[in-house]
Amino acid sequence: VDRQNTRSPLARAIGLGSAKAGAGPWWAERVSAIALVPLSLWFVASIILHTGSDYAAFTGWIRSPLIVTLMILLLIALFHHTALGLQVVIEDYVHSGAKFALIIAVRLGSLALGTAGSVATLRIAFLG
Amino acid sequence: MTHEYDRPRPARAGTTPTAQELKRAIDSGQTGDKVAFADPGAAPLGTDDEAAGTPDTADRVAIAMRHELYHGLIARSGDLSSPEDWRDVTSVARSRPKSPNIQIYRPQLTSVLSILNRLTGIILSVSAVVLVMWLIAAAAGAQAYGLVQGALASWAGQTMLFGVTLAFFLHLCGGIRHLVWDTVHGFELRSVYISGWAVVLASVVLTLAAWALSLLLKG
Repeated sequence: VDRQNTRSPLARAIGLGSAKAGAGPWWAERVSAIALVPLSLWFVASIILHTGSDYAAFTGWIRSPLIVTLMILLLIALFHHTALGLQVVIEDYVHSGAKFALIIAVRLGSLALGTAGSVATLRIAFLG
Repeated sequence: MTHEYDRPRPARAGTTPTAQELKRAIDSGQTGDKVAFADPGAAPLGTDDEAAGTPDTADRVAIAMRHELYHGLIARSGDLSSPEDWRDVTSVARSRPKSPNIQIYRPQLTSVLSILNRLTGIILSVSAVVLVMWLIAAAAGAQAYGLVQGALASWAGQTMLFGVTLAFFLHLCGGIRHLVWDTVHGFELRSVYISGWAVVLASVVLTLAAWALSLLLKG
């Protein structure tokens, strides 16, 4: 028995490797990817079609309920997928203590950016 | 007790190594993957080929020697005939890189696309931050929005946006390829290469089409 380490095997597994919960994030990455196929294509097509649009035309476009909905759905799927993808990259290449700090930063940063983008979209829609 | 393989390499200055010398290098631990001890597995090295009437050419033995001793040495020393080179080889061979030896691996479509899928994912993560900044600017008002639009319309901004467009389509097409793989389809080597080139082709075509359409609408 390693008396220097009082953590249970379960606690170590949850923190450092397989805790039989890996399928959840794996599945979520696929579901968000599937959502992003139409959402990101819609966004890129919209941006191309708005080439040369001025501010009024752009905010006028966002103001429609359908566009607000699609934009917020895009932000949710995008930042969910971003957080999951970056976490896998960090877990694969960062093995120092910075790993946890980076994962937390990615998680919280993604949540903050997704929220900020959604609030900005709603502000354009209702106050713009 | 001194073994035969403990002796320093016999002076054969200016010649290419023989199969016997390669065997001695392996036996004496110079290849870095075993301790210095006679390797019975390496005993027929060279002799079987000779017995079969197809002895290895000097060039082939030299290539095997260089590969065994360390790939990095090919660049530094194509000639292993001087004793200095041999000392060099021994010290370098002991600090061989560990698998998968990405730095000496010949790039393949499969590995390049795998790396690109991650790289474009990281690029798009950074782009997502720009997307939010752009939305916040639009929410803040016409002036802030104009500032961001101006930056994006600059040469630097347009170049960056072009790169992001290519990264987007590469990640999108590569992602769809991964989703197909998740259904346990398309794993045959031939299918993997066909889908890989399809990803490259589709990404380039879609990127060029997107920018052609955008420039058409602008002009």
